[in-house]
This record gives sequence, C-alpha cells and structure tokens, in this order.
Amino acid sequence: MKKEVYRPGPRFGCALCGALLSPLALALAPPDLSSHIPYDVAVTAPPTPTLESLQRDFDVLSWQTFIALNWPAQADGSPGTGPIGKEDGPTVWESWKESYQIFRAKGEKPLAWEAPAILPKPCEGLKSGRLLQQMGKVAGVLDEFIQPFQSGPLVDQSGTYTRNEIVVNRPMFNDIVDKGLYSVQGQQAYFAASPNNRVAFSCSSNPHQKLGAIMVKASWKVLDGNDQRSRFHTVDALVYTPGNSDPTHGPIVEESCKAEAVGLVGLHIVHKTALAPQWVWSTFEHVDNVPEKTTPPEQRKGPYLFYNAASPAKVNEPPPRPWNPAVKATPSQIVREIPLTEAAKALNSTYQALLRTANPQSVWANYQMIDTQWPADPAPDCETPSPTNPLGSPAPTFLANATLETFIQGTVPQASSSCMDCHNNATTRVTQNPRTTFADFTYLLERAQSTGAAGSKP
Amino acid sequence: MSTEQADVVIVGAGLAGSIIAYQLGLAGIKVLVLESGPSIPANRTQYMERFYNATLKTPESPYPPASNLQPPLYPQLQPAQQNAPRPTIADLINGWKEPATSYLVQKGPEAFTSTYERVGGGTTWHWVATCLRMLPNDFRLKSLYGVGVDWPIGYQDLQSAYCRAEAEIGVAADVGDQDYLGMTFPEDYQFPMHSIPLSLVDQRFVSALKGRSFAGMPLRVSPTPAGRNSEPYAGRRVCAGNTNCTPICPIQAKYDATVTLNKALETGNVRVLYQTVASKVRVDGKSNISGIEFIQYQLGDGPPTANGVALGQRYVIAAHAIETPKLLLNSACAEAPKGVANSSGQVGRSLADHPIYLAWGLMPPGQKVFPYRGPVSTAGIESLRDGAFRHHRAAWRIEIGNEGLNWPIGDPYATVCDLIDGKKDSNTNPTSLALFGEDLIRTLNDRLTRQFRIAFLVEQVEKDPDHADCYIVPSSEYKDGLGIPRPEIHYKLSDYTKEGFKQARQAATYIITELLGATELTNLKPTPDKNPGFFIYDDEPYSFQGAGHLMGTYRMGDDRKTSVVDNHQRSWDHPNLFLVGDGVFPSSGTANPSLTIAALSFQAADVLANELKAATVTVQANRPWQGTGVQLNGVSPRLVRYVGGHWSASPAGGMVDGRGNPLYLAKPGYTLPGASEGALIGRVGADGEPFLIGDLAEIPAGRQGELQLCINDDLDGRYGVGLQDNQGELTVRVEFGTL
Amino acid sequence: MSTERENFVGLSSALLGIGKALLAPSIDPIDLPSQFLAYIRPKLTEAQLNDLLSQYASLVADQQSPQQIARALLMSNGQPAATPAAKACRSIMKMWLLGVWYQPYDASSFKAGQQWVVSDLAYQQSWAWKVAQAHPMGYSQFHFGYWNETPPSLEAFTGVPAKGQQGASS
Repeated sequence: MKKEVYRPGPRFGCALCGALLSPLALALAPPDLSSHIPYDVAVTAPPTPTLESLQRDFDVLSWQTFIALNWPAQADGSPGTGPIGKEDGPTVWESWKESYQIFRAKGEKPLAWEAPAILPKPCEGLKSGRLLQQMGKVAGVLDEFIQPFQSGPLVDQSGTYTRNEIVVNRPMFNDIVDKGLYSVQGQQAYFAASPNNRVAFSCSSNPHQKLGAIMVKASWKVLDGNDQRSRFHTVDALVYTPGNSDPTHGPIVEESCKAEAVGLVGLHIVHKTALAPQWVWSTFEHVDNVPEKTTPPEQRKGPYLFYNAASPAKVNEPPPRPWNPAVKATPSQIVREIPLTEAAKALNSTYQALLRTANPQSVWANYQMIDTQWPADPAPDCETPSPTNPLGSPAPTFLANATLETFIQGTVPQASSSCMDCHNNATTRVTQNPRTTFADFTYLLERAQSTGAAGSKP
Repeated sequence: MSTEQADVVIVGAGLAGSIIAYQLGLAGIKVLVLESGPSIPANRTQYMERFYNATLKTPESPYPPASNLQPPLYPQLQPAQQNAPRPTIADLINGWKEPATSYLVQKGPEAFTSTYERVGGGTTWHWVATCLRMLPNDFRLKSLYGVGVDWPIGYQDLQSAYCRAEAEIGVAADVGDQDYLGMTFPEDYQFPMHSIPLSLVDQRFVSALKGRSFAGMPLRVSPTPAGRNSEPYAGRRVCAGNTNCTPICPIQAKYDATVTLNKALETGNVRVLYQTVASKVRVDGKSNISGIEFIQYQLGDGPPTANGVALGQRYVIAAHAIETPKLLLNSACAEAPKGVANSSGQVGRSLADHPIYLAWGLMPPGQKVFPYRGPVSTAGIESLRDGAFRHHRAAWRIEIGNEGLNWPIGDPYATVCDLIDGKKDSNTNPTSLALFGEDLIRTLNDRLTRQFRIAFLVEQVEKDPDHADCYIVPSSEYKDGLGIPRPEIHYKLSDYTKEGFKQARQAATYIITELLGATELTNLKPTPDKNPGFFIYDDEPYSFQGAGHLMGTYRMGDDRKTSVVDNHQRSWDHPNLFLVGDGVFPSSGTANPSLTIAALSFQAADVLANELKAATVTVQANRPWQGTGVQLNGVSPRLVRYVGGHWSASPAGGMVDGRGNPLYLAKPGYTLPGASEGALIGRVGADGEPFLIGDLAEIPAGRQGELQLCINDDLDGRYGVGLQDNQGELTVRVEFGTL
Repeated sequence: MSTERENFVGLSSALLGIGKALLAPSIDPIDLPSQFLAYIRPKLTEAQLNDLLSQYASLVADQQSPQQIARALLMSNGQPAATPAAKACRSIMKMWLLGVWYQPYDASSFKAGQQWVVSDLAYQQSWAWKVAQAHPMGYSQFHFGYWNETPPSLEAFTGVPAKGQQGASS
C-alpha cells in the first residue's frame, strides 16, 4: 500500500511556533501528515500509562486516522500524492463500500469490492454523484431505525435535512462477505455451521502490521447560498429518499433523487484493534456546527450551521412530526451538551495548524475531534466479548457527535449517547442466544434481508 | 376560551388513544388528542435519571409528578397542588386513607392498590409488556359459571383484532406455546417475533412441575407472550435483559405507546395538545356530545394558563378506567343528570384490578437460579386460568418473576443491609449474621442467587355486578390543582375473589415447599399497618398487591339498562361518543389487559373510520373496470362488502349478487379466470392484479392506489358480445376493518 | 505515606473483601473512589472521616490483615459495634454495594436513617448485583438470551471464590 508522509517545513518556522511550544507538543513526537492508517494506538507512557496519557494516545490515533482516511484518493481508492487539503477532492474512505451495497433488498451477494455502486432508479440519468440516503436518526426504509429512540432528523438553517451514510473498509467487507453475513439465511448458516462461530471482525494489529475492520459514518449538509463552500469538504451527491407509505417503517415520503452539492459536517471513525477489541470510537465535527451549552448565550458567536443565536427555539428538540425530508422543516437549534476537554482542544489546534502547513486554506483545518472513546479494560482477545465486563469500561463514559447523536446527548447511563453502550445492543438477525446475537458492535448486520428461501421468516 | 376542531377528538394519549389516533390518521381523518400530562420527551434521559436517583424504585418513579415519602417537605407535590396528579405506591405508604397526600380519596374498606400514569404514551411506559390474550371462557363467566357478567362478544370476534394488536405492539411468542385452554389462531399464523428464551428461574419451575397438578389441573409453565423485541423490529432494539421493564426499559426494547403515537403524528392528520386536561363533556339537547372543555397548564404545580373547548364529529374518551368515569361523572348536567353516558348508573361501577397474591422464597441450598437477569418475567403458569372451579372461586394466573425478591422485600437492599447490620428484617438472614469481607460476599451471593417470587393475578368478580361494591365517584370534598374533583374509591373484594386468594396461598405453598423443595418466605401473617392491601378471610390474614390493572368501570353489554357501551364501544346514550380502554371489560379474566385493550381499540377505530369515511358505490354490470374514488394506502385493512342489487353477466347465468353464478366459471380473458361468472372483482390501481370479492372480502394488503371494481365477465367480447348484454348494478360499501 | 484516596480504597477493600484493583482500577474513567470520598465527607463530617481513615492507616501500619482490620473497625465482642467509625464503615459498605448512602448518624443537617442514591453512575457500578452474578436492574451490558445461560462465576465477577477455594465452579 503506497503511503505518503508529509513533513512540515523546518520545525522552527514561525508558522508552527505556537503549536509546537505548547507543553504537550514539546513532550511528544510531532504529528505527521501521513496517509498511513495506524494499526493501533501508540502507547507513549509505558509501563505506567494513566487515564490522561492513554486518552491522548487514542486522540492522536483518531487524528492520524482522520488524516489518512481523508487523504486524497486515486481512482482505485488508494491514497494519492496529496498532501491532504492541498486541493479538496474524493477521499480514501469515500472509495469504501457503502452499507446499502452490502445489505441488498433480497439478500443478494454484494458485488465485488471494485464494482461501482448500483443506483436506485430515480437517480439514474442525473449527473453522477455519491449516493446519500439516510436522514439522521429518522427511521428510514432500510435503516436508521436501529439508532436509539428514533430521535429525530437534524435540520439546517435552510430547513433541509442532513443526510448520512455508512461505509466499511475492505477487511470488514471481506469479513461480512466471506462469512455470508449479508443475508438472513447467510447468517443462519454461519451460526449453524459450528457452535463456535460468532461475529468477530478482524482486529488491526501492530505486531502483525495488519489492518482490520474500520467503519465510517458521515453526516452531510446540503450546501446552499448561505454556505461558504470553501470551508467544507464537499462532494457532489445524489440525495436519495426511498419512498415509504407505511408509518411502521418510518415517515410517509415519496421516492425522490436530487443531485446536490453537500458539505461534510460530521465523521465517525470506528476501528477495531488488538489493543481495543471493543473498537476505538473517534468522532469529528465541522468547527461551525454548534456552540457549547456551557458557553453563555450572549457569547455564542456564530454563525453556526445548526444554531441561531436569534432563535427563541428550545434547544436540542427534534422538529415536530411528520418528518418528511421533502418539506422544509424548522431549523434545529442545537448545543453541545458535553464541552470539549482542554486536552482535546489543544490537540485540535495542533493538528489544524499542521493541516494548514499543506495549504493555509485547507478545508480539513475546519474540522475538530470531539473525543475518542476506548475501552479502559479491553477484552482479552478479538473473538469473544468479555464475560463480566463486555463494554470494557468505556473512556470517556459518554460521547456524542452533535450531528449524529443530536438529541441523545448527555450523561445519563443508557439513555445518553455512549458509543459502546449503544452499539453493544446491536444484534444480528439470528437472535437465538448470546453467541448468535452478538454483532460485534455494529448495527449493520441488522440490515441483512431475507433471500426468501423456503423455511425462512422474512 | 379557545376552540379546537377536528373530525375526532380523543381524550388520552395512552395505548387506546394512540392506536385509535393512528388508525384514523391513516384513514385520512383529522384527529385531535387531549393529553393531561407532559409530552413525549425527546429522549429518555430525564425519566432514566429520575429512576436511577429514586430510593423507592416504584413503577411511577421515573415519571412526573414526582412521588416522595416525606410529604411535609414537598407541599407542592401533594395532589391538591398538582394539575395532573395520579395515584402512586408512595401514596399507599404515606397513608392510603389520607386525602392530603393520596390522590385517590380512598373510602375502603379495602385499599385500591394499583396506579397509572398521566403522560404522553400513558401507562405503557411502565407496564411489564405481558401480552396474553383472554381465554374464550373469560368472555362467558355468567353463562358458564353463573358468576360475573358475560361479554357481548367472544374470543373469535377479537381474533383478527388480536393479530393486528400483536403486529402493532410487536409481540414475541410461538403459537405452539399459546394454543391452550381454547385459544386458537389463524391457520399458519406466526407472531411477529419468535418467543423469548426462558430464564434459569423458569427452567427450575419447568423441571419441578413436570407431570404435577394442583386441584386436578396440570401445572404447566408457558413462555409469556411479550411486547418486547426478541429480534430487531420496527426500528427498536432487541431486549438486553435490563430486568427493568417496570418501571422503564432503558433502551425501548419494550413497546410503549409512544411508538404508536409517533406513527399517528407521521400521518400528518393527528395533533396532540399536551398538558391539556379534559374537564367537562358537554351534551346538547339531542343527547349528542357537543364538545369537551379543557384546561391547560405549563407547570405541574402552576396556575392554569388557558382553557378551551374541543369540537369534533365524534368523541373518544380513552383516559383509562378511573379518569374516564371521573370525567363522565364530573360532567353531570341537565341533559345527563346522572353523568354523561350514565343512564344505566354503571359508569364508575365494578372497578376491578387483578389483586395479586405474592409468594416468595429461597431455593434449597446449592440450587442457584440466578435471578435479577433477563426481563422481569419470561414465563408463567397459565394452565389454571379456567375450569369448573370458577363456579366457586376466582381464577388466577401465576407470573414467575426473574427479579428475585426485589418486589416482596426490596432486595438486594434489604438483604445487604441485614447481612451488614446483623438484622433479619428480610427473612433471608434468620440467624442475624453480621458479616464483612469475603464471608459477606459469599453469603450475599448465596442468598441472592437462590431467590424467586411468584405472583398470582386473581380475577376480581363482584358478588352482585349490578350493585357493585367497588366503584369510583368524584369526591365531593377533594380536588386537584385545577379544581377538578378527584376520584373517590370504594373497594371491597368479594368472597368469590377472596376464596381465589385462599386457593392461591395453598397452591403457592404447595409449589414452593413440595414441588420446588424450597423455603417459603411469604409472610403468611401480614398485618394491615405494613400492608395497605389487606383483608381477613376465613380467619386468615392476606395481603394483596396491585397489578397496575384498572378495569370494568364503563362496561360493554347488549342491554343499555345494565351497560354503558355497546359491543362497538359506543355509548348507548350518546351516539357520537365512544369509550375505550379496559373500562369496557364486563369481566376481567386473568390475562393482563393491555393486549385486549389494543385489540378493542383497533375495532373501535374501524367503527369510527367507517362512520366518517366508508364509501358506498354502485358498480354497473355492463361497463368494464370502474373507479370508486377510494384511495387505498396499502396499510389500513379494508373490506369490500356487498350491500344490495343484482346483476347479470349473461342471460344464462341470470341475475346474481356479488357471489356470481358458481355454475359458470370464468374463462381466460374474463376479469378473473377461474372465479364464478358474474362475481364482483376488484383491483387496486389500473395495473393491479384482480382479486375476488364476492359478497365480502378483505382487500389484499400492501397495495396502494384507487380501488376499482368490475363484474367477472368476458371483458373483450372474446366469446360473444361481452359486457353488452349485461344488466343491473350492485351497491357496495368500501369499509375499514378485517374479517 | 498513602493518600486519602488510597486509604479509602484500602479501607473499602478490607471491609468488602473485594480487591483494590477491582474497586479502583488503575485506568478508571469513572473513578468512584474520588466521587465517594467527596460525597461522604460532609455526611460523616471531616473530622470523623479523617479519624476513620487514620484508624485504618494505623491498622495497616500494624501489619493487620484486611480481615483483622475489618473486624477491628466493625465489630465489638462479635456484634456490630456502635461507634461512629463502625457505623460509618457499614454505610460505606452499603454505598459500594448498592450505590445508596444510608446516613449512619446525625451530622449537621443530615439525620440518621435518611438515604439517598449517591449518583446514577454509583448505581450503575454498584457491587451487590455483581455479587448476584447479574447486573443492576436498569443497566445490563449483556446480550439477548443471556438469562437462559449460567452466568460467569462469582469469582469472575468479584474475585471472591464462591466456596472459599480458588476456581470454584459457581
């Protein structure tokens, strides 16, 4: 795998003075602009790491991964020369397999990794673009039910719904296809084949220099006249709304597809590693998204993408139903419940400055890491959940992305967003017992459809 | 005073109100729901936080208004200061006869011990989610056993409604486990989700009860059908065994009515006004309901902020079995001097719970059953719910609990404190050991892992159903924060019910001591000071718990003199008024009532939808496919019903009705080959596949578009003159409902 | 010289028989010991808390085993002692096991017998449920159907073997 490492100009160049002289930066090796996806966290303070030192190590892992995944890609998806941000363009992760291409309507086997995406009919004939179909945590036809409590769509200041998508990398794609997990019948066969078969995606490993499973969830906002396009990573998308007439499956909407330019506002990166078999949960947002709740209202300098200082609306409430993306909705009024830590802010400054060395106008410098959740008491291996502490003591205890867990932010156990707590509830379509039920922290396997083969329940 | 208008006004956003609002919204009917409590929150954090921080984790503990055991410290929380108060377990502990602190003004002689919620989504927020159907014989207590009151409908009348309820709620069960005591299911019926695995506690009962019986009836453990996800369903998560169904499922794997209410809102035809308390039902000179007055508030203990009247063509009161009669009786006026809908005098009468006989114990040493795991209950002993004994004593079902001794003694708290303090209040520490260190851990483990409890849900039957001993009337003295008279409860269990308790105690001791070989810890000599639910029967003291079921207070029947609503749940007195929920149950059986509430709500919704939106059309014999103008959404079940007229497809076939002439079968090229010539045929949309209607048929589900009708004949004139010699027309109704 | 937190963890461990590493793991995102210390300080009074922790520290310095330390603090002639320190210890034990604070004696505005849930996380992490080989009602990390299977052993949950031997099967 070709990788590019970009080194900033001479260390003592004034552009870097501020970042490098911060105490944290002086204590550690400088971060790199590199297209290499780290295999695992680099623990910097053995033999006695602390909670704080490990948090920083995982945060560095998050940023390095963010940079590598957003590295400009060549046509085949491999990283190009870069450096990242010199020009905005398709990223490495955008070449990965979309969830709807894996879990198909009749449980058909997914096409090969390199095969282009199959577009829904209404999108054919429109100018080419990336298909986006999910609407935040609205229960859509295929998915997004699976998020907790059908909490609601995120609506921008123009009244338009944000859209999400999920992709997985090739190792995770292979895990799914090789074990037949893309259909209900495939899952049933897999679990029946051996009493030891369980869902366990592959771990990345430093000793073995091997990349394991990574899944990415992105949230996008439709760019309109009010947006400064140059501040976003942008993509030409096909914003597709599947038709639905049954409220059991979600809002009643007509099928539609529209070519729109969209800007990235949120990015989840979830990576299963040998030192974190409960996965590493990294999340990023556009810096303009929302103010923090702890900032007094009069100091909330905008402009924000999902908050309007002049609006009297109650914060963090979903819009009233019905939730129909074809109809302009009340703009969401969102604040961040849990403020960024000082450590996170400092690291963000460091990396944003680093990104600007490649291009002072780098769109990527307009993104910030919110936090990284990692297991403080990790499972002993990559195959089986820990018997008495399946979550592995998530650090921090709660984590939410304001664009993806908008309405469930907070610090109440089980009810507020914690990546691992919620994803631990994910299941397969074969809920016979704990072994067959456990889906290794991804809700994707619930999207498997039935082939309709005899003897199966739909 | 403001005015709100809709086609249908519904009071109550609980299970019944939500289902009806949803069905009517799907049918294109405009609905306004008035809900006394606060709205469905954006997430569960506030409710969960309240739960975590409550030292008294009762069913109500997550929900507003907050309950507490130190009333003097919280004067603003007392019922007279609250705008939408409701009964709580704390009320019972603080003094069930104290109206200063108890929302229900209880006159006794026995305490009514069940509670409910007044919030968007209603009491299903805190139900266990048991979804049992009533038994066929439950509907015929009087005819079969000479006690109680017969329903005007039977089990089969509810068959398709039960299936619809099971789909809406999402019930996990296997038919093979549920077809006992006369219950039947449609051929090839499958519950929406497979059954939930039994717990280790259940398994112990299964092996101990194998081949055993009580009072001549087999003791059999059955998995309990539950409104709880055993698979990903309708966008909700799968049960993770939080063992917290009551009071709140942290992850909404358990169904609650907010699911249906949200779907109702998605139709775009339903509005809900929260913190809007229905205060009075207006009746006009023609005995029609002419409006429902309401009072609105913002703060639970604040002043009223607005008032108004809601106007509709039809009115539905779905406020549960105490608030509904309270509203009706509070609305007495010149046009309805005994209270709205109360010419029979039965409104508020026959208030029934399933009073519970609770029994508990410790499995023998070394026999761990590992409670506190899984849903609160996964199985029960259902095989004793019916039999000849019902001539003489109340029937019951037995719920097996997975939460150890949490309910009977408040464990693990009680045992932990006993083992540390050297006390024996819990009865699990008979020698008052005071422990620490590893000894404490091992002993605590030993005690907790052997705990179990069973609950007998006893059918409550009035001695004289037309002159009930259990009833609610509005209090003439005590009001809530809005000045609305609170419910005054009179409650006295009949000897028939108490004899059921006596048998329950015997069965419990038999099962626990002889079959399980366990130590029974049930308090066989309860005292009224520690047990609000208390009575003495046959010289023995009994305590009872509330099941959280309230039923019977506006019963359905076929005689307007002795019932409040007819078999359509329509008030006898006021044709545009429907009363729904389990207040309509003339007898309660032993099943938890919610599934039956849901089924009946689907039926009431069909009646209402037909009254407002059924279409009558005529179909000509001599024309091909004719549009009806009826647009189908593919979701609401629809029927096509022959009403009248005759037509002919051929002179030889003669004049026939919708069934056509079975002597002549349609040939290829006909509207529907293979079906009778002259039969009524339908299709949905111009390219829909034709289906046979005959005189009555369900329109196949999932098809959207306009309903079109046609006679079954040679459409293209392939064999002769085709439609030209046809005569006559049929009149047909397109309705809502299932067969 | 141990810190206050270290003494509190050591005391708790001795009283409960649950290892220090379990009560206060080295990498601990929740850090109940610090939360608990802050919570009980006003409820025991600063003076009583310091006194209790000093007593503990002395017993440790005297090379007493955890068992001996617990007995010395809790019991008197084989019965639960009625000293403030003993009462405080019993409340501390209940706090770890249940996440609930039972006020041991009158102290400023707090009255003996009052009880409060310390916090939602204290409830979530409380130990009585692990001792039951289960989970707190309302907080399960396990997967569908787990209740149909035998749980991991007491030792796996708490480090305490069920029958007084390592590796006891239940």
